[in-house]
Amino acid sequence: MATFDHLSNMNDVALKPRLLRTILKEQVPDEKHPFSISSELSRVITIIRTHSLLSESFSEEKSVDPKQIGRWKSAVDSWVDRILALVSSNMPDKCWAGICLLGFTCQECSSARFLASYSEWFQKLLSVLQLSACSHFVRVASCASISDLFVRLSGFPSEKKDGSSYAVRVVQQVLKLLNDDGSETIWESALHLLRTVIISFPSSIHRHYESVEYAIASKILSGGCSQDMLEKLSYCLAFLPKSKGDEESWSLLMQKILVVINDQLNIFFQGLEEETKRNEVVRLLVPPGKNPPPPLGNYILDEEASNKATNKTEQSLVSNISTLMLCCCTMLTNSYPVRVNVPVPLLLALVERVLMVNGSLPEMSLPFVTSKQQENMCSELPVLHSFGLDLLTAIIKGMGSSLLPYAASIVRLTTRYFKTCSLPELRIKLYSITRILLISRGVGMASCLRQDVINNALVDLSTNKNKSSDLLNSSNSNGSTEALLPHSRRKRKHGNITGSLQTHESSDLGVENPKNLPVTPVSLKIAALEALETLINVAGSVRSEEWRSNVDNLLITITRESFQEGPVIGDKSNFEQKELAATTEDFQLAALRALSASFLSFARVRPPYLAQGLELFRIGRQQPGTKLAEFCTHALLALEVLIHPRVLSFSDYPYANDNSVMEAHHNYRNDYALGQKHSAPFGLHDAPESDDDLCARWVDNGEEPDLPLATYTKSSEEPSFKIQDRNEQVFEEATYAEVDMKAVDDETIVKRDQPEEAVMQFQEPVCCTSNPVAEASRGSVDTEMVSETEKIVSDSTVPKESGQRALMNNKASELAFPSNSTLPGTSDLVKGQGVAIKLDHGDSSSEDGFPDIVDADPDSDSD
Amino acid sequence: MEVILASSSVDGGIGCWELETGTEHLRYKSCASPPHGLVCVGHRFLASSQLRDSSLSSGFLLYWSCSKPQVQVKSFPAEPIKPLAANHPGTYIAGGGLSGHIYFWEVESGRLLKKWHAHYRSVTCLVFNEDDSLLISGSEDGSVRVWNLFMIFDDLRTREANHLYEHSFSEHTMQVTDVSIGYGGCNAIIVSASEDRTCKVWSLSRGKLLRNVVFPSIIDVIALDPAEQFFYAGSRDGKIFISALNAESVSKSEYGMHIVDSFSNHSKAVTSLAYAPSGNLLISGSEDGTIRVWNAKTHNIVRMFKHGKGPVNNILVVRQQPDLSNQISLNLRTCSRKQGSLLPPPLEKYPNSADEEPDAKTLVSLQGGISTDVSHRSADLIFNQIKELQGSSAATEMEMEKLKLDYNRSMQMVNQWKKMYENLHQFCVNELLDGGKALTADENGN
Repeated sequence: MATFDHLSNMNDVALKPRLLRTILKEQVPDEKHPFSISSELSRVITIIRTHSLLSESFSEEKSVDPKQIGRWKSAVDSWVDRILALVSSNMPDKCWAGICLLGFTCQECSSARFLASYSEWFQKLLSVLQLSACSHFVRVASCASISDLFVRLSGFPSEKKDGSSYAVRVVQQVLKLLNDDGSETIWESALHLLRTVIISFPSSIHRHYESVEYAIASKILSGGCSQDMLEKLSYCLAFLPKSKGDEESWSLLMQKILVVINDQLNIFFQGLEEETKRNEVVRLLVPPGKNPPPPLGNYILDEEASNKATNKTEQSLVSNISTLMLCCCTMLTNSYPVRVNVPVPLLLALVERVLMVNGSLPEMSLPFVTSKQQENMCSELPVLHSFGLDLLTAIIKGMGSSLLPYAASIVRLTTRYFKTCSLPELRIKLYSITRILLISRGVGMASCLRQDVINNALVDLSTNKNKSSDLLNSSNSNGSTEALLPHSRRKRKHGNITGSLQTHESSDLGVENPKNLPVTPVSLKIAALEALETLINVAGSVRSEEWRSNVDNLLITITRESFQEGPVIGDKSNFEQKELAATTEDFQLAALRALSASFLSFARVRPPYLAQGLELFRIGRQQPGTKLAEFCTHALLALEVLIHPRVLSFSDYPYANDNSVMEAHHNYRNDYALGQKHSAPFGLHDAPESDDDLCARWVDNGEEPDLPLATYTKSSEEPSFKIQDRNEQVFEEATYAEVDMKAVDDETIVKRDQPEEAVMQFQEPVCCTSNPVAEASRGSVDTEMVSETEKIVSDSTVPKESGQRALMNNKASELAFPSNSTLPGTSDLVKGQGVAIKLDHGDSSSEDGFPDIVDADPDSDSD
Repeated sequence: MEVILASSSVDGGIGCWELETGTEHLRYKSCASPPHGLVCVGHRFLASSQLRDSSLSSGFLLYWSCSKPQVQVKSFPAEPIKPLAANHPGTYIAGGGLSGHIYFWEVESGRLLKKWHAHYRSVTCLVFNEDDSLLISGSEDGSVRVWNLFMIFDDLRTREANHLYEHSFSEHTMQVTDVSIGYGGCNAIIVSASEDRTCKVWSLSRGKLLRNVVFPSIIDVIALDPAEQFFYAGSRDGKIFISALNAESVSKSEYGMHIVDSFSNHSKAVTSLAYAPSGNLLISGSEDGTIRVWNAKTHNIVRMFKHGKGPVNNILVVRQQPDLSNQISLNLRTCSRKQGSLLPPPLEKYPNSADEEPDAKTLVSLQGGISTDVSHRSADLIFNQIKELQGSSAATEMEMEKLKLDYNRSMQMVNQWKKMYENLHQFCVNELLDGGKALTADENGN
């Protein structure tokens, strides 16, 4: 090679053979020289991968010099030769390097080369695997390399037959490895190989199906494997039926596993539960008159073994049960080629059995259980519950739309468990289950779960600060959540003492604030917020009058607090587990998501806290490069519709004639304005559309004025809420008066050509009833007004204008808009609205005056 | 490939035309369906209720697989079923009986899961909502009811509640002819048509009447525009009216409030309407036996099919899966090969007496899961093993430290023992020597 034979650039094809040769010469070990394993090999891999040195592929657009092709081919040839030589080496480290690189070559080389030589490579690798005396490293590497070879091979359907015959030979070796006493690393790589074979060449397992099942089951049940290993084992076991791919093997394996789980639960729950529950599960498990299935993997718990089993520690029992539950989950959530019969009632009974044991002892077994035994059980119960919830999730996911007949019992189980569950980890899982249910099962499910989600989320989201607990009390005057609150608090405390869940997420269980009250972990709060968000998304408008005002109030308060507080208590100690721990940003994100859902789900009504919310979204957007900023940008776009109601012309709309197009256009616009009834400037468009019961109904906030005003005023100590509530009340009366005035029948309709008349006509009685109240309430509040409540007032006075309009109609004031925002005192408001009314008049005469008002939104100014 | 399916109340089979090209496909044999009695179950097969003889004691349900013209499965429910509805994945079929009962079957097993008394008179139309959690029924008694299926299946709650339905709208004064529900989850609207010559728009979340539209003649069928700006209403005088949903309507309209326009040249009553999203087409079927495809924007006829002599009373637009690449259909095929029949068993007549029986089968096709991919591993393994080889040095170092400390401690112990031994030895020697001396002294003394 010429010394100055320069390349054109780093993409030059000529670089590749040269680079490969250089690497081969300098960094790949060979027979004669000793080599240091360490960094050189990883450099080789990185370079080969980056430049795809083994691919022998040429870009099509350039005609390639055949010499270049030849050079590259010979370079790869010598690479392969060297590696094969390494594999046969006697030195264990060189053999190891060779095996690893051969596996890597299987992945990287060209298809033609792979097809030409894979059988030779396979023989080499298999012979290494068959050697009885070789180091762990070599075995692990050869398993991985063979696995890679099969992975590549499975991409060539034409080679299916050869692949299967090779796979059969490998399975024997794998079984040998699994049954030998080895280290976990060997088992792990053997399992990985097994999984590849099951998925890629399922037919090769058939003959060894029983023995594979035995090998895995005995590993799981004998105990002594690490958690990680157990997970892998359960995974492989769950995949096993796929090799046969028929319904019976799936059902049989499921039944076998459930029998074992049930047996082990019997041992673990001795004395903790009553007989009836156990019998119910057994009845479902083995229906009367049918034979029980053969034991899992023919792993017979004979007399001696079962004696040993009773002496097993709680820990090993729980790890067995949880591994097998995980296996069930995997079986349920992974696809299967044919329809299978899922024993849902049994699975649900099992989950219920697990979740309903809370460590308390029934009366009758008090004398038989020592406190030490109880302590041991209680320490392991949370793990078991956690896997029980996982299983429940898997059932919901796996059943899909066929869940319907069982949905009621799942809902009941969830509701019941919510009441007793206090550990944050478990509550988070429970929230995620409710979210899955809500999203997948829709509106109908929402009406079953709504109350539980709200109650629990309100409890979890209440902070320990005085201010916020006031908020909670004020927002929960219905009583149901109040009743729940102290109860749950007590439980949570209890949970902190016994809790020893093995995960590290949100590890602030022990962190307590100075008052020594338990702190709700941030991750739990996030889960609660997400549940609320989902509920609002799915069914934000169903029975909204019962719950929306509380929830919206809570959401805006929480979001604002999250922006004020800075770092949230609870994640200071998580410096090293940044990925796992929930951060303030996550919390803010969750809060903003929920808030945006709450805004958007106000169909056609202006959300009460829109102005404050928009401000928060704007703040959030100013943090570049964060998820928060991304979401805020999206939210601001989505909320834009609420700010500027665009008049979209429906060009596709089929009209009878041109004239009606104009008219309909006009009507659309007014309709839109109506939709925005609550926004300050637009609200004044809503000279009641007397001929439109539809709009009136849609605009109607849906709040029943059935509560007397007094209950609102006394329900809260905090001024801002008081104001809010009163104002709502006023508004309700106003709208209802309006609505009542209108007959549903379209025949008795005032023509909309005279909107002013309509206004006067309908507003007269309204302002008589509501306006004095409004005045009074505002007057009383005026004195205690702080800067924070100002916004709320300026927001919420807006609805009153329907009442005030009639009064103000004659006061045509020339004041500028910003005066609205300075102080929402009575006189200013009146003036401001006078202006708005003027604009309204102007607007009805001109077609396009409408969007101009947008900028003068007093609410956005007042922020 | 989208196809139009049309059936008639007179036995004319089910016609099937490709929407795009207009070519006629299979004609499924022997079907005489009542209005709203033809459904496509989960894109898998067709089901239709049959009311063949006028003696109302019998009636049956038929299944056709998409690929064969012959009837494949015949079921005999307890009473004649008129309207049928299937949820979107095709796991359940609901049927409305002449007596006002609603029957709810699981397709896969054919089990009659629930049967409840829904209306005082016969059920005329049934639809599932968008997320399949609600069922909306209309009846001859003029009521439209919304059923929460989770409520229906919750035995405890149904016992406590005084009524099963979520909402019951009774503003219609005569038989309800069609019900349709829009998109939008809980914010969806329900539109119902009745023989009292009105269509009414209801709010699902509030359970209230939103709008009442009076038509010049009876409306038999409605179809919602996908954007729900308006809906199409097929009337008995052969016209298709367009009625506004969103906009304030034109009060001067020649037809009445909220009615924007009308078109059509069907000579007899329009009995069925369907909207095909691809190409913005509206398909109408009429008692004159024709099916017309309209451009929904221009109201021009795009295509016309002749179904037969009998009046058309059902139209479906179905997207048929053309190729085998789709995994679901592939699964079904393998399944069918094994079980011998593509279609599920016939629907059962009576609910299972012991519905808690343990071996109640719930056949589920497990989908999902991403983990079936196999991945290359050796490159990562090399990195891991190299790490292990290097990383273990720290561990060995610690082990060394520990061993050193152990060694030192043992050495100390050994020294201690040695010292003790020596002391003891010394002591014994001294004792012996002293004893010897004393002894000799004694002896000497003696």
